[in-house]
Amino acid sequence: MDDKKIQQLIFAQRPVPRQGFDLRIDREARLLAGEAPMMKKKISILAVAVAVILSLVMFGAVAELLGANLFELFGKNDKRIEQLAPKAVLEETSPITNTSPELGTTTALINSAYYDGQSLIVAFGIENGEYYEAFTPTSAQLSAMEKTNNPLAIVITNPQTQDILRQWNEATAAGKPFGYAQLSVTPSDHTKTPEGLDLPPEMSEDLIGPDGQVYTIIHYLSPLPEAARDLDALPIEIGLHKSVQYHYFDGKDAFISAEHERLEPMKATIQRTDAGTRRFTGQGTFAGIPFTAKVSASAVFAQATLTSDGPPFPPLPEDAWYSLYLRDGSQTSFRALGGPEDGKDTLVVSFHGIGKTPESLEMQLRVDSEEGVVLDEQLTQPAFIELTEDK
Amino acid sequence: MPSDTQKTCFIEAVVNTRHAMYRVALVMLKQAADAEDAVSDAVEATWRNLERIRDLKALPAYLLKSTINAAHKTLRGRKRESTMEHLEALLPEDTPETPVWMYLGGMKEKYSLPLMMRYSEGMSDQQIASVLGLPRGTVASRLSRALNMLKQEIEREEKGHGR
Repeated sequence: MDDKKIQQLIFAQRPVPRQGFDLRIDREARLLAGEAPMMKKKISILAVAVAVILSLVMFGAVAELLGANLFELFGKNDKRIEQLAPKAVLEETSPITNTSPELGTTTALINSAYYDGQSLIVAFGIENGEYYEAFTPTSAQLSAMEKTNNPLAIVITNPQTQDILRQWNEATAAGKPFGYAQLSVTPSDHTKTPEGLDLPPEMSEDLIGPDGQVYTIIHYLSPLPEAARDLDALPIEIGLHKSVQYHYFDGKDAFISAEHERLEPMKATIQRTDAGTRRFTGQGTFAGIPFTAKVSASAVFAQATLTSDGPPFPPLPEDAWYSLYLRDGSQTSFRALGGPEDGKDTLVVSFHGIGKTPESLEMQLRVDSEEGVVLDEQLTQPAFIELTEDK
Repeated sequence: MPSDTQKTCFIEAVVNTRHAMYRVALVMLKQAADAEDAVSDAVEATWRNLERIRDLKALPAYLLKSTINAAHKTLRGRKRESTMEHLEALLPEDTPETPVWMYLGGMKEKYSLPLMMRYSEGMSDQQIASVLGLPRGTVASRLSRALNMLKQEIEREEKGHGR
């Protein structure tokens, strides 16, 4: 099992507290803040919502979905993404539109994307993708809904479009009947190639605009699956779902039901950037063992492989581990994404890129340990490796 | 008395951080009820110190720190250590053949906390360093080490079960 699989499992299997936990903590926090009476909460929730929107306005560019490069918007908070923005302009992408009486026209678009043959980052937006209205079920509808005993207070992210949630929060806290329907267009968790290859994500980030636009940037695991590597252009599809969720609180219990519809996916073809990947090689000696180091590095990702030219790298005592430090000619450090195993012929470490393809690299291999761990003398001497670009 | 802005930020931080706090406490205490109580204690402790927190953006980190402190207090009060069976009981019925959180619960705290903060909660090395009060380099090193330990544990378990 590789590191990426384990990382995915940690996220996918994370424990969720029992129903009732959110309500308990929410109530305790509000009681401490002196906001148990709901009339005060109304003001508080509005203030939170305003703060969220202001934080987006502070970016200086509330992107118009189809116009601005979303890498520039997300780059305000992440220098690496800002540096990639010029390389993330798409030539082939087209908006998906869906019209409904409630939402009017919803537009979804893969706005910008970076692909260098090994790594992929995609930004997209959905405009006018959410609508709320009051809902009171008929007795037939209510009997078809699923009962849940936990009507949670919902954090309002946009007071202009989500006033009905404020009414829900007030009603459920006061024990008064209330219901609403939420119609939304949302993206799938899966990004695929037209051949059906699933591109696993590493992390994603969302920003919400003042009119309810949702902007998302997804970083995918590097290197990409074999079949998606080193193509001249990578076509991708991100599915879209249209759903209606019905929520009803009868004064005691909460009920929920949902309807789903699959829409046409968002599609784009991402040209491989010229920046590409550079490869470097170097030699070193650690604990008397000569080894060859090979590094491939792009703006987004780097991977170092150290192969012993003699016996395996020595096994280490508990609470000691091999560390590999990589930096470019301007002394910018790469952040390691995992660590190598000891006692093997090769040490492999992946790194996040630094936003640009490095022109030169240097590396250090050493053993780090917790305080109090006694290491053999030969394990305490780091190895410095000069790397030369492969021609 | 905290200002309205402090109160608003406090509630927002609690709402946004409570699940991460719960998982931190759960990994440390291995019992859901104790984990919930630790979160509750941490929320209260953070509220008591709210006026002393200068940077309100640091509230989520402060809440997580307080959770760790509350969990340590619970651990000190326990007569014997919880067994892994407690944590196993929390896993959903359709738990896959590799229950990584059970293995996480069996690791030393100095390894399990950075690992779950990074890969479950999506925190950066800098954020983890801030919560745990460690240098960033130490966090990076512990993450590397922890990932390897977890991988080896999973492989050892799966070999043992003939998977």
